[in-house]
Amino acid sequence: MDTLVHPSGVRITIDRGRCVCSETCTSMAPQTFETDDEGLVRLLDGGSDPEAAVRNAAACCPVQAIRVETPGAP
Amino acid sequence: MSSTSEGGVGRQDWERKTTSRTGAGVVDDPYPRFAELRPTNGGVHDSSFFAMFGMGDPTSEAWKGAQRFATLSYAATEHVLRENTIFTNAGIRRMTQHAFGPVSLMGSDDPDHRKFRLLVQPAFGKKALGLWQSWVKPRLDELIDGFVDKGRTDLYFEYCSQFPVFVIAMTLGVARDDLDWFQEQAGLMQIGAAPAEQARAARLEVEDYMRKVIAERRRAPQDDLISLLIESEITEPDGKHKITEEQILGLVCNLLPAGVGTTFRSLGITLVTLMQRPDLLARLYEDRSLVPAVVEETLRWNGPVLTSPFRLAAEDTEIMGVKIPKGSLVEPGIAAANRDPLQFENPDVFDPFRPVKPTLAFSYGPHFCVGGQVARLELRAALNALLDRLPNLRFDPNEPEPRLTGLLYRMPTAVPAAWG
Ligand code: HEM
Ligand code: SF4
Repeated sequence: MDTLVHPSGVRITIDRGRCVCSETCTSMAPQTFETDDEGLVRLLDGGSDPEAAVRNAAACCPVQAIRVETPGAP
Repeated sequence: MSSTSEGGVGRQDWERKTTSRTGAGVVDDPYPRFAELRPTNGGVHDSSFFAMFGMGDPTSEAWKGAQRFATLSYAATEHVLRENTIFTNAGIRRMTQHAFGPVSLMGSDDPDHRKFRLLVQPAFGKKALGLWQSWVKPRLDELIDGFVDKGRTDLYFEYCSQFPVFVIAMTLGVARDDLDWFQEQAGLMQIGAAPAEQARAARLEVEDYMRKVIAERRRAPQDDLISLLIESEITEPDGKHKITEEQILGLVCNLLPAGVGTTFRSLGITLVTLMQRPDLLARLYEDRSLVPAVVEETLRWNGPVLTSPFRLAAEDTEIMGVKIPKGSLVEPGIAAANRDPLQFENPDVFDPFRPVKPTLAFSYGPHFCVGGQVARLELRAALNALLDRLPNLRFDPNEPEPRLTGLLYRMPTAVPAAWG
């Protein structure tokens, strides 16, 4: 799945087509992101990574492949 | 290793000769100059890095007369690397064609580059990392076996330089007997290391060799990286595309210059940095969970490469308000960016305990180093293997204390070590 609703309610979307396998997100929010045999990012269940860690991971992705949206926000 | 050949990655005299062309022994500490220039124009400087230090630029042969810029701040560097359709890799293509061949990752731009990356990223994915790893530890132990009883050696030339090229060779299916030959070709293919004709000849030899390996694997696949690469395919709107032989060769020829010198020099820098800080080193012996942070902080504080290869401005544009005319070459100064005080507190201090934050050591944007995870696992394993087997590591008191040096490539002058 390329979309996940984090326990905090925010929606996380990844774009595997852009991922360069930097492992930035996986080191910052290891229960939300992992990389696979294709060398591309994949979503886990979100576990107990704080929302701030997920947002930080998205902001630091070198190719802007992660989007984090607050439900209800325009 | 045989000493009959004149070239070769990490052979002492050869390494000194080729790296002096890129600033080793000429510039020891470029960072004060970066700090001085960074506050002006948002960290966008109007010359090449070599010119900044009064040196000729061995990488600009193919682009004589082009206007030059170099970025020194984090924001400017990140901008250039992110906006890859404006700051393109066409400049690198022309500079590296002789060594990397007609199709290379570094020398291509989107959309071709993205398709190429998707085809080769499985060779650096989770399963493939296990294949890379399987060659690392045995090699490290074999090297340490060779000198452990002597009690002292130069770890830079006897250890650091002897394993990344080995790992790439074995992963690619090079026969053990051909290792010396392969090392020599790899050395000749590094950016700025050898005249273009010599680099081209080395590439053609490697391509011939690899064509035979590829043909063998097509006949009889094995559980190895080349077999995995041959099978790689992507699905496009117009159907499935398998990786071409030309693309495999292009990747192979790009791996050698990109993955050999970078990793071994970084390990050398890490060792010197640790031996200069005996308290930290003692702590590391006790607590190996610090190893990854030491590796990352070394890459930030004194990475092995000064700059991502220069980008060519495809249109008139701006960086931080500075006008960049179409046709200019811009060097994204990742090492200078990693010392930007706006991004890192006390940036000149080596501090593995600083808060975790991404750096630009492996670049940024679509060309982010594809071998980053291989490099990390190699650096961690190589450091751990030494800590496992060489107690009380320190500088050899009979040798001059080494220093860090170099501009385009950073490295220690040597790593004279004693233990026990
Ligand atoms: C400490 C070690 C290393 C460092 C600091 C490093 C750094 C870099 C940098 C700065 C780039 C340039 C990206 C750009 O153009 O913006 C790069 C690209 C590249 N690196 Fe590494 N690298 C290291 C190790 C490796 C290893 C071990 C491999 C292969 C096994 C490798 C393979 C590559 C390749 C193929 C590219 C081209 C990627 C592309 O253009 O898409 N590197 N690396
Ligand atoms: S940070 Fe971005 S590029 Fe890196 S692994 Fe995650 S999604 Fe991929």
